[in-house]
Amino acid sequence: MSPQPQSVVSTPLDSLSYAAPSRIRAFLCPVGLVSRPRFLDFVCRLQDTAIIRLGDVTPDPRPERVMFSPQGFPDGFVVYNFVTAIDSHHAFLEDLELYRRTLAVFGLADYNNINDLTDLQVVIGAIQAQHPQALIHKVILFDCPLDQNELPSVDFICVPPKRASRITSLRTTLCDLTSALLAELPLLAKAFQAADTIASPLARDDDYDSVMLTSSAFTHSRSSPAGSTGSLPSTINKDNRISYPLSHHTERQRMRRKGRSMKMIANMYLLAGRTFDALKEYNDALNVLKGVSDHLWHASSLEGIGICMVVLAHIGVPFVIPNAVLPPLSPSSEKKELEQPQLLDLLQQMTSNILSLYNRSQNFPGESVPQITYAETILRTTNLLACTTLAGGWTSAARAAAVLSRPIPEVSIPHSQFHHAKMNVMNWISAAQAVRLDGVDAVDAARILTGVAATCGKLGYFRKRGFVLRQLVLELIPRIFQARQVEQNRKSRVPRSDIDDDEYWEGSRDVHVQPQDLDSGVLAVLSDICTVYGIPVDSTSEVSTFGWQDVKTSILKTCIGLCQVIPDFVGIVRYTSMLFRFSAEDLSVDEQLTLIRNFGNAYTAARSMGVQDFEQEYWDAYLVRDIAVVESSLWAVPTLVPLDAASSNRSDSSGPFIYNPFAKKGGEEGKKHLFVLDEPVEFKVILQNPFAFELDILTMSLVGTGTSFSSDVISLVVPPRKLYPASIYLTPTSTGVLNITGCRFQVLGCKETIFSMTPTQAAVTPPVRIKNFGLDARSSSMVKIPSPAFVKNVSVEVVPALPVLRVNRISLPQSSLMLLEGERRRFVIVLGNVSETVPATSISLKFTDSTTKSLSAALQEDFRGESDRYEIEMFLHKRAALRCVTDLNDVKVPANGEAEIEVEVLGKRGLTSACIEISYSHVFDSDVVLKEMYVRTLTLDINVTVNASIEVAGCDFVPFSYDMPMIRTGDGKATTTDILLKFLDQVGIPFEEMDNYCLMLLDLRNSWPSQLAVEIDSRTSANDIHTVKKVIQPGHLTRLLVPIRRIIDIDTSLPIPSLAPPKQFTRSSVKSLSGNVWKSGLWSPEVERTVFWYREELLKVLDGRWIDNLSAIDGLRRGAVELRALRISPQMVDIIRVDDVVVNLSLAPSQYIRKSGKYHWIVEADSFITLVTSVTSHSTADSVSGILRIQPTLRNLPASIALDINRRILFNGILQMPVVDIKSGDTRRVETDFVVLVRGEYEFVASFEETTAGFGGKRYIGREKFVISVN
Amino acid sequence: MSFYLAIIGTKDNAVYDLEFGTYRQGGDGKPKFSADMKQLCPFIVHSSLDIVEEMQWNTNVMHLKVIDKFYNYLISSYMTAGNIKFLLLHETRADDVIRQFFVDLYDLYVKTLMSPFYSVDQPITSAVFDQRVKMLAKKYL
Repeated sequence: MSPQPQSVVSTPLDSLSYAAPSRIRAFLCPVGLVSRPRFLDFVCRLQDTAIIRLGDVTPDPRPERVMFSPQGFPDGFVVYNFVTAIDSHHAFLEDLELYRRTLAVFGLADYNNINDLTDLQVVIGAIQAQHPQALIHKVILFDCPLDQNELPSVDFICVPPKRASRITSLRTTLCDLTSALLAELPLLAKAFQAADTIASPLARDDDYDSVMLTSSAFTHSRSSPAGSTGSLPSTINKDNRISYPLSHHTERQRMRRKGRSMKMIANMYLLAGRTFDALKEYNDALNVLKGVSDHLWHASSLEGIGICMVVLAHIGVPFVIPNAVLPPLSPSSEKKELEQPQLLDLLQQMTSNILSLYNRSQNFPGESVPQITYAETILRTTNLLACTTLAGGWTSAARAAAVLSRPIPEVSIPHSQFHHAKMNVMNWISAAQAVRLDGVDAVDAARILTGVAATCGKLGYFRKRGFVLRQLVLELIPRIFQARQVEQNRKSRVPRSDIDDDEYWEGSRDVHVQPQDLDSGVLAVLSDICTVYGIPVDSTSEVSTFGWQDVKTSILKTCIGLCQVIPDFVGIVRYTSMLFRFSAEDLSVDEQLTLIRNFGNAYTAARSMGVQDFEQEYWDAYLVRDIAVVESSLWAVPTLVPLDAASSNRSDSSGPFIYNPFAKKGGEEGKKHLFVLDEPVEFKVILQNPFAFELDILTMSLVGTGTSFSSDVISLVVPPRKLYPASIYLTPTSTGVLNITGCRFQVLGCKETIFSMTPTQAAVTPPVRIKNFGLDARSSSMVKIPSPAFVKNVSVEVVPALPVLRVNRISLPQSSLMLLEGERRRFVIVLGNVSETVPATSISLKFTDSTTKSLSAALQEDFRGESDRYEIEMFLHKRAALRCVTDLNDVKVPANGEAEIEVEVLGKRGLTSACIEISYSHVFDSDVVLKEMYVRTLTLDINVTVNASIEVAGCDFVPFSYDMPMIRTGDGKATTTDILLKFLDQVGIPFEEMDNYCLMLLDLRNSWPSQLAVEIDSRTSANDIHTVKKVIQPGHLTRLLVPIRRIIDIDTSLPIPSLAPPKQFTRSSVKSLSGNVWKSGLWSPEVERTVFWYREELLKVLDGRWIDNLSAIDGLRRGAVELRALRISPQMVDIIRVDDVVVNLSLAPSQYIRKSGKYHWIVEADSFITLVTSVTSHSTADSVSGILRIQPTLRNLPASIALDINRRILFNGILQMPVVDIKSGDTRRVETDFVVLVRGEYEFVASFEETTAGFGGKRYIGREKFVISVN
Repeated sequence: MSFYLAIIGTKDNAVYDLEFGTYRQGGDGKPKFSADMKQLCPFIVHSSLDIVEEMQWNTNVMHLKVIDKFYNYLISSYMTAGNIKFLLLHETRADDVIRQFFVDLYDLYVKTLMSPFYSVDQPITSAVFDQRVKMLAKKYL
């Protein structure tokens, strides 16, 4: 486990490593013209050689400069801490901790950019003046081909170019510089030794001597250089002050000064690499300082001893641990080289001692320990322990890491041991965490907290590190805010007129974080914190289920807070959008409004600074809830129609079933939209805004694949807490299939995002389940937002350009007309083509009217008989209300032109409105036979009023019978026979053939308030049509007598046909009735069929018209009488029909007989008479066989007597005989001789009973009574 | 004395959290955290998860005792078999009592887990659970 990134050698040394106080601070500054990358390159090269062995350093020959001569400890080394910034902030600490002082200043110059070396001479002077406390000031000329001797001054050092020089050349240069530095150190040491007083960091010059006398009130009023006084850990009890005896004041003062100067010398030995001497000097100083209770310096010396021991342990030189630092009860360890655990324990023990000494120094105002020193001591110890822990013990790697900040190679450590060591470090860390940061300024607070965080990170405690970093951010926010307040106050002191807004922004801009700085620094820290708490910062389309929701919200608010005080506008935009993404539901309305206001301001400011592309996507992945095509009312949507018969019947022949319940229904989902080239199409995009603020969508457009198109780009504002439908137009620019895949939008402050409706591969593949613990679970708990929020396929077909027709005129006033029932009327529609380029070449009409619906509904009712159903279907399918008169093949509407179409309307009962659908298209090449065609439909509505005209009120049929009684009519002139004969004469029916006809009594009512002339035609034979004319007064009911020729040869066994499209299953009406018991009013199927076919036959021979020649304003009104209103019963059928087999009786001519009517004879008694029975077949069957029965009876007597004729008539033969094989249309004669013995009236009835293979056939009886009167 | 209890799921997510006070020494069961501390509690508890995760491999008992501290506050932890962490922020050491509290809490948690309408890592919103935890707190702490 190696949480610390492997540091490369060239990175700066860890300033909090345990041996950091043993490094010489050297300030590097650019001199002359040096580009930034060049300068950084130079710094890197120097850092590579930051460690100089004393053995390599040439000692200074001057005798007064030998105090820190490298020869004293050739194994030792000097470590440079190269810095590129002066830490003037901690200057007050430089006496106590000499390593904070900048001892060397190196100007780095690029030789290639230097014109005149003499100019640099001036620079040297300036550097010396700026950094008087530094011991040496040199300018290093990089890439200088010159020899050192050619340079004007010894202050210039030459470094040959990288290629020309070996790696050692720079090291040699640094050795020389070190030599010079070490030669200067004795002067500094002498200066310290000569100084009267060496002050503590927090002491003031004037009160130095009265340090012990200060009151606590005074302590609070004084201001320390860093403004940092006060207590360290919260646990310190400030009230428990120790009063110090003031005896031997001067002696004490002297000893204290001596001890402090010894400690200073020891510091210098440590810096100069003379660690042995340093250890000895520290030890001496310690003894002196301990004696005078100078706790601060005492503790500092103790720390120095610890560092010396670690450095010596690293070098590998045996050393003696001073007695003063050993625990009192371990004399055995004296003079013995301590092995790793002991030394480590000892160091920890020493740190504890140091801290208690520091705490004790708190009681002495002016001598108290600065917060930063206290904290850094702890941090250095934790650093040492962390290095040891990670290296698996007090190994050389651990020591190298502690002294030289070398990276620690990975080692495997037993878990329990590792854990134990870590717990130990954590104890120290909590001590460091306990340092109060109230009085510490921002830089120190940051230094302390980052130190803690770094150690936590090293140990792999990333959550702890996140927690510390959050604390750091929280500490920084008010401090930065304060600093900015101060800056603003300073600006506001400038008179208002002198500063305009631009200038203000100009001024504040240089303190803003520029976008290029975002990668590093404090914003990287924010990203780091976010990552630990489970907020994915890299990917914007993922949501992590990892983490604690409340904590996440809080962290993001903290991040926004920091970005606001910096101010970093890009950061505000970024973190606000993240907050909306992850925790929108936790935010109150006010919070949301505040956030979005700041978001908007930050976005504007960032834009004004030149930031163009914002990296974050819009936070709500479910912004788009639906995308749908809007049916345009302006542009009629074309439909695809098959043209050839094969393709039109395809659906029927697709399988053995007429109805397939599994066939795909044309629902909304499967509906394919058709767009026309170059015509805009409207889409409805439903957007959601669940937030409390208005959502500003800058741009929105549709995206799709397939053929090319151009989409409108719209901008809109979505109101808060609304589902908002937005309308957007799209124009296809080429034909083919176009798939709308989603839409592209850019919300204010976010980057342009594409919302896709098609499922992505990631959404389809199931997530891989990996079990992870702890922070590793982050990777497996990333949930890709199921992008898209919904899946929908909006596929449209773009078809070639089509014409657009309009109804320009119609020859009906207000598109309405009035008709009488049965009347026909024509009108003209003038079509205009709106299209500029495309003519309409293929036009077809389709009519629907108001009767369709009621008739279709009537068909659904199941109690109706078959003939009624046929009647409804007849009216529905055959009796069309509208009809096109014009031949549509000739109609073409040119581009921008007009064309006429004539339509005829029939006055049909129930017609109130009609709809004409005009389908039109454009066929480019008439030679090509198209299989299908895209058509547009134009709909035209017409209002129709149909008034009743002539109605059939009823009908009846009367047979012509020879048996009519001779009744005189009222006026006594004519008998019914006369009237009948006259009538027959009128209609041209010979009396003898009268029984081939019957008479229809037709009742007609005129419902129209004007008289109407009615004509009824009846076809009496193939050539003759008899017309009955009558004028019917308004409101009157009139009976017309219409002769009808009786009907023969009808096959009534055929089922009643259906005009509707075939159904797979037809339910028989028989089954709906229980058994064979027919409900009253219903006929058996046979009867119904018979009635149906005879009525159909009857309607074929009848026709009717009416004419209104009086009231019509616009010409004559004429129309047809709706004769389908006729209803006939089975009884009527018996009248109309001619039986299949007709039995006729007559007498053979003889002298004894006399005919008195067609079927009435007068014969003489006791004479021989021959009865001729003729059987005629009209059957549709080939031949008929049966038994003929002749039944004579006495006329006008009751049946019991009437049949008793045995003694009255003698027959020669039998009265029942078979008659076989009568061909259709043939007549068979059967003669029977008889003699009548008794006078009277006799009646003969002949019947023919058909014999079929099964049981009883039909029985036919002679229609007329055959009567013989015997005189 | 005030306590802060958090049940943390396998993904660092809070399944349940509760602030409460002691009923002993005349306490009324109400938490007495300062406003700052109230905000900080989840963060403190969250930051000790690192140590919980390390501790769990070093012991075979579920009760990990006090694992972390922050200023004067101590954090005790209990690790369930399903990698669910109970963390209690408290002020004084009382390992035995806290162990009993955790064991009973585990009992409650397992009962919740057995509900067919509850899945691991889902926040516990049951009012009954809340009430029983408060009763446990009253009983032990």
